[in-house]
Amino acid sequence: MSDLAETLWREFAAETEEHFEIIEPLLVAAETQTVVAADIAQLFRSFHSVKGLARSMDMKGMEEVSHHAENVLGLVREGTTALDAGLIALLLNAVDVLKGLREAAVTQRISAPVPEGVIEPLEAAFAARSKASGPSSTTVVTAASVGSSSDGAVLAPQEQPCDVPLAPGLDADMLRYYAEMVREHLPAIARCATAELADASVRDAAVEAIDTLLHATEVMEFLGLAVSLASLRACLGQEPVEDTKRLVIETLGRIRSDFELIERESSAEIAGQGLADRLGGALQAEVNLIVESMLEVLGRFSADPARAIASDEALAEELAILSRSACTFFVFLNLHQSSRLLLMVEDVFTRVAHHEMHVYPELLALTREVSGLLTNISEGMGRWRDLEARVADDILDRFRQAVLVSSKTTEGVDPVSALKRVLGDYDIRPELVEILSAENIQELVAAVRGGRTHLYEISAYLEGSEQLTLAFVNWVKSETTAITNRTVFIDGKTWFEFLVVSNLEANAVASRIAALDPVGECVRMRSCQAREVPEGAATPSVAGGASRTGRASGGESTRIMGSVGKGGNVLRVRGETIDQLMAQIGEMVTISNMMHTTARTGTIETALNGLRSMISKTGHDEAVQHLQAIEQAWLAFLRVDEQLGTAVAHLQDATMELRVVAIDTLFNRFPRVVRDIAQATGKQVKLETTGAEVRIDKGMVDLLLDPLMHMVRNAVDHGIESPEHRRKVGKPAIATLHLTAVSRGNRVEIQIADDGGGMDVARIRRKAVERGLVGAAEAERLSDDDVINFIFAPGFSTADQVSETSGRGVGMDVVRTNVLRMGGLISVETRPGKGSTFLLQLPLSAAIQRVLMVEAAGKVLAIPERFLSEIYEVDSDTYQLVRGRPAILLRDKYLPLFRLSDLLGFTRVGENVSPFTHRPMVVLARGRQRIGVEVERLHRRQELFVREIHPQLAAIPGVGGASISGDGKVVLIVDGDDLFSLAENAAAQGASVH
Amino acid sequence: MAKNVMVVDDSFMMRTLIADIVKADPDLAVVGEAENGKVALEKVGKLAPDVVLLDIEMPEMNGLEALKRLKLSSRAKVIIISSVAQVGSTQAMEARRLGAFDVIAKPSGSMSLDIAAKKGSDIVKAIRKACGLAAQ
Repeated sequence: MSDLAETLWREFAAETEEHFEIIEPLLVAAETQTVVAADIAQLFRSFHSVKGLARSMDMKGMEEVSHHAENVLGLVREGTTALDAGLIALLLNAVDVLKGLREAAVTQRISAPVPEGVIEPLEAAFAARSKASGPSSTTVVTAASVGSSSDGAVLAPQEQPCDVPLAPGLDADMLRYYAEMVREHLPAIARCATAELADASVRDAAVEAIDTLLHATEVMEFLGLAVSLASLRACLGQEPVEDTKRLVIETLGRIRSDFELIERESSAEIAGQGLADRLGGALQAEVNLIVESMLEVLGRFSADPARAIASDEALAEELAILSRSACTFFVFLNLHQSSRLLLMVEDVFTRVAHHEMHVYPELLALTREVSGLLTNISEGMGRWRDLEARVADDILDRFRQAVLVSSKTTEGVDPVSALKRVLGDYDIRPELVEILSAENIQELVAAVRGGRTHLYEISAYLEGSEQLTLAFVNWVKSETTAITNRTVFIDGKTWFEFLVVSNLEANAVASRIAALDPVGECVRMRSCQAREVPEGAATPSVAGGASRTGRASGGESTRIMGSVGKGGNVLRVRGETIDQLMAQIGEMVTISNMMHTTARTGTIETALNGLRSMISKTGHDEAVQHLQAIEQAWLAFLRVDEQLGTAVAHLQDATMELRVVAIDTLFNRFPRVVRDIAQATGKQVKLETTGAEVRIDKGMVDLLLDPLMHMVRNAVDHGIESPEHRRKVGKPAIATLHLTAVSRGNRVEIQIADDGGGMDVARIRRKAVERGLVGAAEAERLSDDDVINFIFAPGFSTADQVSETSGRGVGMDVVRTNVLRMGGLISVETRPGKGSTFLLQLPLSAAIQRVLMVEAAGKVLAIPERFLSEIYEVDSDTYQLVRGRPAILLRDKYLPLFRLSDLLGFTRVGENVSPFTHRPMVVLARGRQRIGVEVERLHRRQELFVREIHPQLAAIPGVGGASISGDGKVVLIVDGDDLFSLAENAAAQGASVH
Repeated sequence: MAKNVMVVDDSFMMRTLIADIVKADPDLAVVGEAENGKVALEKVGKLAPDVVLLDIEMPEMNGLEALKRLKLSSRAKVIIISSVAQVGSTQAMEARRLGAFDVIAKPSGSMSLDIAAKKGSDIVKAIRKACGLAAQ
């Protein structure tokens, strides 16, 4: 039980953190960039998930805060309000509070009280913004708000950014000219929509105007518009008949949406309210006529649904056509809310005519209600008053509810309540719930009742391989019931997300998928299994397949979870588990190496050869046969040994992969930090990151966070100048901070570069003297580069004031220590007025190191490759004494020589050893320092799995770690940094180390 | 002469399934296919189809954006065939507002393997009507 609780808390901690890592960068990015609907949906989902997680752990405060954040984002998602700076600030504040509450939850298992000033502003924002405007379903409103938004961060849902111009290749001036032309000629045409139609001279003028426009329209290649204009001309070219006026208005209404697009593109107003006002009176009679006809048709529908279904296709079609006519009138009159209702009626009855659904009394009643409302919007004298958005929304909602009930497959189950029940039982993502049709819900309920109780979301990329597609589709059809699916775009590729029910358990589904897609790149699954609560304990809302029936009480550490990030489904494994696995594989590598050594030392071959010659002398037949059998077995063994070596190496690589994550998990934390410090210090900073896809050991991510955070803070606080200052010196007011990761083989380079003022070398020199780090005279002699390195000295800080963000004097030395500890190097470059750049060179993983094996004082030692510069053999003629210390001249610089066994204290001082001749020498480098280290013998280069070192070994100066070599001996790993310090000590009275 | 139909859908499988439905009618021919709105617009000028069958959710340029442009610059009638165009959905209403000739919902999501069985006749009926052909 307590094990289970621990597991749940761990999940809670990990998942909430993941969500915050998703939310923060998105919000910060939204401050400056255009936000797409997918981002909004992601934000909404993440807050929603946090809410669910909080609820499951009974963390009331977190639940409440995320609930309100989700509410506000809901408004953004539906396009009712914009994600503007004010809202972003509120939401970031909410995230901060949530983080605090999470901390209390995770460490103390309590639901801390929610601080003041979080919920109220969110509530207020929700209240103010939900009233602000109508919903996005009228794109007229949406389009305008997108176009005119000064916040820049707004994009209504459904409105995907589209960079393709409306009329490609067209000159903007030409478009504007055309729009002016339309505006000039439209009134003449519009007069035909009024009683003036009877006047022949009015019709002639209209025909003339159409001819002019038609020509221009064809020149512009607006072919669709030209067709509409031509049909209007044909209509007006004849004596008007009863229907002519209606046709004219309908055509004008149809053309109107085309004009709307041209208006948007050319920023010219063509047919605004003025035109609507002019025609308003004339249309009144027409509208009333149509509404009457609609009511009449409604009356002809049978009251009996069963009969209505059978016979009313024609009636439905008639009603749809009438709605379409009325709708074009309303569009033309700028009555957008009313036209929305008519669009709904048209859509519903077209589908009835298509046999997609039944006519239900409720639908008829709603349509009657719409007709009633529409007869009342005319205020007479050509004045109209559109419905309120609220009223229209309400009716549209009721229509959608009624549509669900009207599903063709309804068999005594109310789909609305059925849906609610299913949603309560399962954890289906909202995007998929949204696209469920009534029919889908029926199928879902039927399948669940029929015993297919497991629900999965399966994503598949099916456009790559026809074979996979067919196999996948066959499997889905045979072992699951696909309820619905949708398309999602990931990295420009089309994926299908299926919602399926099945009677297979999660692990069975996972293994089927593994069989279909062995590489694991094309099919992913997520279980939507119920949040079942074993023994009253709470479980996280994104529940895994196996935790369903309370079997989760064992050491459940891995499971398939919902896709909170971009990468789809993720298998989460505890870090310790991987470490244990790595250690086991390290053992295996060792054993395999031992076997290899045994096989290759030649002992067995020698013995076999000896045996062979002995036996050949005796000529003992039976012995020859035995010997041959042994020889064959031995050859087989050698082959196996080779194969085992390869297999183990692959296994090791694959396990390494488990530990690496994309570096953006680290980078994602910085936008928020940069934003906050920039705001606190009144700077303007743009953070640019490149190489976010570079992969790095997860353990390194944790180790790197603090050092990077410190350098980023420093860069913004000290490096980057105030906007005023930057303007004065001719720089852009907004500074740029570059965070770059580059993968270089088994190393990773991270660079933090700002374009600020650079470091004040003179001041660092002064401070270094003040702190007694260097004598005044010595300081003057030092080069600028050397001086800058003082920033890495303990306790060194040039900041005059201790600010909230930095300047406490515990800084770069800690950074440097941390970086060195993980086997990395740090260097800095600065240019006055141009900025500073920190470069971190890091191993991909701290666990496996590439080393050169050497021998000194009879011991095998490993020198990490990152310290290796070159390997040399010292000749007696090149070697000389410089200030009493052996050195060689290497590329015009004296390279001081040391003996590895001396440095490590393996040889006693004064012990007589041969001079530095014909011995291999390893040149070690640290930054620009170089030393030559003589060893007795060079072995090969290899990868070593670094083990935790015994304290007694760790106490040896110069030793940084230990490993086991192929022949089972302990190998000490030399610490390059220590070696430099030891060399400096040894050379204390001799030449300085270069 | 057969009327020309263009199929726009980002899924190769769906394009194939829908094209098969169209081809089954001797009065109709598939003149081209496109995998998104952008490509559709490029092709529509040259191919001059009578009818464009347009999906909504596509990368690069979605169906509604394409519909706006097609309506203006092409003579083709546009029929929306999309999983998100369920009855009364925002997308369906928006498509109608923008002047789609008809709107048909895919029966079960964007990958509707049963589209021929469930919607084949509706699709053909809508195309014939858009082309001014008599109902079969």
